[in-house]
Amino acid sequence: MISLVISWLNFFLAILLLPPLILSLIRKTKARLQNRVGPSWFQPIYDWSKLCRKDETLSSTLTWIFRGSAALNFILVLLLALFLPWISFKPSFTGDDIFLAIYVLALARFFSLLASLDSGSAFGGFAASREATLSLLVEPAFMLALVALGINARSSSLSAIFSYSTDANNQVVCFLAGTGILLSSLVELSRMPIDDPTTHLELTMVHEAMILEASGRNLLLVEVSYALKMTVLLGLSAQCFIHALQANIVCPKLLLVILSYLGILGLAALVGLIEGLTVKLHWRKDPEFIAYALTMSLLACFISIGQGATFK
Amino acid sequence: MFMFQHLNFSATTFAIAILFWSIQVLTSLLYGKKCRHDISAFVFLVPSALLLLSAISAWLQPSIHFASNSILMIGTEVLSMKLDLLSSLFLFLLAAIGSCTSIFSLSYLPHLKDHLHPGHYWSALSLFMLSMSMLLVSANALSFLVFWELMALSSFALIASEHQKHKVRDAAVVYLTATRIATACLTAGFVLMFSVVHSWDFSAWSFSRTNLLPALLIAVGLCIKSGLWPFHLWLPYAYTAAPSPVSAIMSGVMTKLSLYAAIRILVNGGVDSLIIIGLFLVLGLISAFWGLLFALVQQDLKKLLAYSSIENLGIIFCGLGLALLARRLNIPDAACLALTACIFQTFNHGFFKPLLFLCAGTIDVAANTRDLSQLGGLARRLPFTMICFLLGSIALCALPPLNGFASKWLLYTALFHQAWESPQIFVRALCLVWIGTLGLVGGLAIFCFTRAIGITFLGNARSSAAGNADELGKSSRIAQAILASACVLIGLASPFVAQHIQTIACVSLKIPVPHASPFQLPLATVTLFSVLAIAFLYAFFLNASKIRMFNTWDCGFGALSARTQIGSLSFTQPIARIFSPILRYKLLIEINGKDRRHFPESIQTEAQTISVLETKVYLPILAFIRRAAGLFAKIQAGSIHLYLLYLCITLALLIIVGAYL
Repeated sequence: MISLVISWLNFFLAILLLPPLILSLIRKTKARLQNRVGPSWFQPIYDWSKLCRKDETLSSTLTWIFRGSAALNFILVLLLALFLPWISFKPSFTGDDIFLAIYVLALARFFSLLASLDSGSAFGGFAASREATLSLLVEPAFMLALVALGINARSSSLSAIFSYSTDANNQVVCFLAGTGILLSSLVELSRMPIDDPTTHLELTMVHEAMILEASGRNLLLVEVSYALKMTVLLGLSAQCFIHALQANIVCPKLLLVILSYLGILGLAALVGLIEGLTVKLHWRKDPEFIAYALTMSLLACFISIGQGATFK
Repeated sequence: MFMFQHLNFSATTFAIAILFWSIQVLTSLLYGKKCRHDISAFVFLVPSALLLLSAISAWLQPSIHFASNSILMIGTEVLSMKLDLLSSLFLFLLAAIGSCTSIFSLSYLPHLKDHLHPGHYWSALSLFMLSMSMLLVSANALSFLVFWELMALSSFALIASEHQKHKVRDAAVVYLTATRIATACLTAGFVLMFSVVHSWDFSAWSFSRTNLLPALLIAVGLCIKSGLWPFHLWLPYAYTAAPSPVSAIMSGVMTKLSLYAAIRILVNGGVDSLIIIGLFLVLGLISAFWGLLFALVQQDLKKLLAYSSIENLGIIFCGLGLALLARRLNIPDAACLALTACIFQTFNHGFFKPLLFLCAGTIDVAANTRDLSQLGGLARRLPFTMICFLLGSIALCALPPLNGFASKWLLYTALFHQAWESPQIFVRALCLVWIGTLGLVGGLAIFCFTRAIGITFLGNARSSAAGNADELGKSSRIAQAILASACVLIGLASPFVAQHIQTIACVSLKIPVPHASPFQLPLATVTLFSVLAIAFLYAFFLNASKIRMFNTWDCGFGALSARTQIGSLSFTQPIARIFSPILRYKLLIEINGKDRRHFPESIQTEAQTISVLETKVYLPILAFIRRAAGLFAKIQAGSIHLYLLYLCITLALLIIVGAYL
């Protein structure tokens, strides 16, 4: 009973703490690489509380889709955070199915695309077109990475996948699938080699141009759900790596908790590092980057189906 | 008319419905131009409702056999019928879509007054429904063929209902050609099968390894009729040309009947040849991908829906192929999952695609165009149609919690099970390729339908007609509402529906029926909580802050016009460029003016996509047939002496051939 309470508390702590922490960690890493001090560690929280207090400006072209989709996206990401095992001490719910997760993400995307088309602005339209293209290309990579994990565990439930005992073979699958998930998350979250979140030119943006019309609390919901989505996706990837590690090291529960936190933070630092060191790819080169993600997922798939198969 | 082995409720209601329709066929013809749409639609509703009752009550009983009296004989065969679970599911779909479209017709058809001959339309529609319902209960191949043919001809008449238009005539001819070829294949297959088994009864047919050819012919015939790649050409033409209620019935039910036939004949007959399995799997996958890829670049809303139908049929036939493969490899649970997914997807598509077609019909009449580049901003003019179209699109993109998701999930799970349970690495890899491609297709669907909704309903109106559009009548909204709520309800009740469809699948595959439902995700509760949470968030968090209304961000250049929005062609440009080898996509830009670089006077852009299949394969074949027909035309000189000579020669030849054989 007490352990259940502790795990719930721990979970809520992670859900509340990690999203802003990740954002500021990325900014800090990037700033340090550029020899700047960077904004304060609490900057995301300051920003969010300011947005919460501000009035909202709406375009008269907008329909209910625009604000409805902000609310919907937030709830969907929250659902994913509750259902998916992105951190090892998650209270258990049924519904951590791979395909459900992918399609819930797709539902969120469906509505955010509509929201950006809603204003009738050219920026929103072009951004939606790009976002749809990128997510369409990355969909197989993300799906196959998760499927590769599932085949070894013979289950489509992610909790079952991460509690499945590991051997050397599964270790490689986990590692490759984790990389596949990480690379596709970069695309899904419009991070650096694909999209520059700090760019100033609307025409080159993807994600930022989509939310150009959002302001006030609407923007707050968009930003918070983005941060939470990033936490969950990086968390999934980190869990894959941790799971790969478990084949060699026997992990007590406390160590797993610490590793989960460290994993997410480490990946966030990695994202910051990539952002500091690389430049945004030309739009036409993006499919090539996505091909890396797909290759990782395919490799993971090949290894996982090779186990116990006959070559006939 | 019928002699029942057990006189029961569902058979009686079925017979009355058929009788009603046969009467309507005749009376509509008699009334001709004086036939009124509102009365006909109400009359049409009665047999549809009866059929619905019959389908529901048939569900509760074991299968019913009934045979006609000796008056209704086809050759030497008695017209025998069988109403079992499989046919009752499809009958239910047929009756539901039939009733909804007839309700919709009430406010839709009067707008087509000038073009449509009401008597012809209603008699063809009644005949269409009659033949489809008789097809679904036919237990022997001969009556099946007769009603198959009636269905094809009556749908041809329906497609041609606005035959004053040149395009419609062309479409009708294309459709007629495709359906003739399909029937030819089926007939050949049936006759070959009869020569092996010596029975026309479907239940006596079993396709062992030796009679591959009839099975293959039947499979190909069904593929053509359902419009799988590369036989999909007739589909976009036919659906665009037909009035919306007809396209709704055709896409929702008629193309599904080939799947019904495939299950009834091929799955029940125990087909396990790798060629047929491969045919379904490969053609299904290509159709799924190809259909959506071409749907992406369509400008006509109905054509877009038609192409996405190709995708859905592709997915359905993938499921069928997978079920056959799993049965061959002796993995019963994967086979059961796959066939359940296949039937469930058919059932779901039967609801959301007619819904989308009806919405497209509303838009067509309300805005006077289906061209995406003329639409926009309809969310304010047609708010109700927008919600229906949105729900239909969510279901079509297989997004939770609507009905499309459950069947897509089952298909993924079936592939997934097969990927770990089958021992051969080749099959495992195949399943993964299928999962990955279906994921890509899912992404394409989202792209395609966010485009359709975004360009049609959101933003500003691109033409004055779209800016002044109005909802049709109450009845069109009722029909849309029924179908949309069906999508939601089936989605929320998907564990229950999936379990029932699983029963059908297992009976067809002749494997024991599992007790648990194959779909056990807690969609309904999660949806309920999420909807409450979203409403709460919207009302008490978003609406609590002060709102200022202003225009869309215009970079300080002044008000944006409708032309500064993203167009339907520009929206697909990135993806069309990536897949340009398949789409043959070209962007033609023409800039004119004295100083073209700095002060262009006119800029014209045009995007071009060519269907290679059409231009490089079908057109040459057509040209060849034309040439050959031109040669043969010379024989027909119109002289009776010559024709008598032909008769004599033919007779002589036949006698010689007959003597030697």
